[in-house]
Amino acid sequence: MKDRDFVDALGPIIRDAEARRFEPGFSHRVMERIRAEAETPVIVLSSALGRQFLRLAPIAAAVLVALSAYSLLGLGTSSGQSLLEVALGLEPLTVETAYALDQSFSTVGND
Amino acid sequence: MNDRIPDGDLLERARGGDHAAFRTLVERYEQVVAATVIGMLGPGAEAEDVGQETFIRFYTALNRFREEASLKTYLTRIAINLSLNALKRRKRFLSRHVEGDLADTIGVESGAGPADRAERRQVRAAVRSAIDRLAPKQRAVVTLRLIDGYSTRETAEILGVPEGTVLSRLSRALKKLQPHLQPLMEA
Repeated sequence: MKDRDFVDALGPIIRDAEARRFEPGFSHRVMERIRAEAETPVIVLSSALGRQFLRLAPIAAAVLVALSAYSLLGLGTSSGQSLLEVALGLEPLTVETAYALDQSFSTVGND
Repeated sequence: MNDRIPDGDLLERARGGDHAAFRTLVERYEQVVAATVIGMLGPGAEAEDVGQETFIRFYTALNRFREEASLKTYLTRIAINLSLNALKRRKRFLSRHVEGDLADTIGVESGAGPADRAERRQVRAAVRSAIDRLAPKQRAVVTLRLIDGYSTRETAEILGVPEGTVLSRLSRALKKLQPHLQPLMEA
């Protein structure tokens, strides 16, 4: 049997087999949910946060790009750091910096 | 009387906060959404929930709906996407629906005798069982093409895929359905 014939024969069987309607009162239940959700403060809060996020996200992204560019241009990659480390503005890790960090920890609380 | 009011007018009123207008739209398209979600998920509480969610999503997007697509297509698209999400969330839900006792809610059966009802229940179980074997994307194509009666082009538009993809999914789905449903067609 070709696909087309099969579709023609199968369609009515599938359509007839299913109860294709909701229980009575469906529209009433939908409107009740809309009313309930409109009165839920969580939704109000989440939509407010969503609006704030949309407002702040482009600014945060622009700052991130600017700082990454500043780090990349300022330091270059000649220090042996990866591009990611440079972009994040991390200090190059050397024996001296490691000892310096260790000393700074050991002096904490001695003042 | 409400049937005579064009969708566009009801939409305009609904956007202005007229709940009665939105309710009329729900009543007008309830059957369209029911056919889609029940075709995808089977009858039951989950289909009802997805159906409600479809209209709630539509309500929250009233101002974004630009009427470039027909409302029927737009709602079907939401219903299909939510049904696909539901299928992902609950992989084992269909076994509940096959054994469900929803026969009493089907109007066409109310006048049928016990033997007819039993036979109809068997057919429904066989059809649902066969559809359960389909992958969600194939099920979406079968629902839209065979249950909702959309054309290949409309199905492609609703699913956001090329027509060729619809045809190949349908072909694969039919190959899976054929061995299970062939006996029903010959009966």
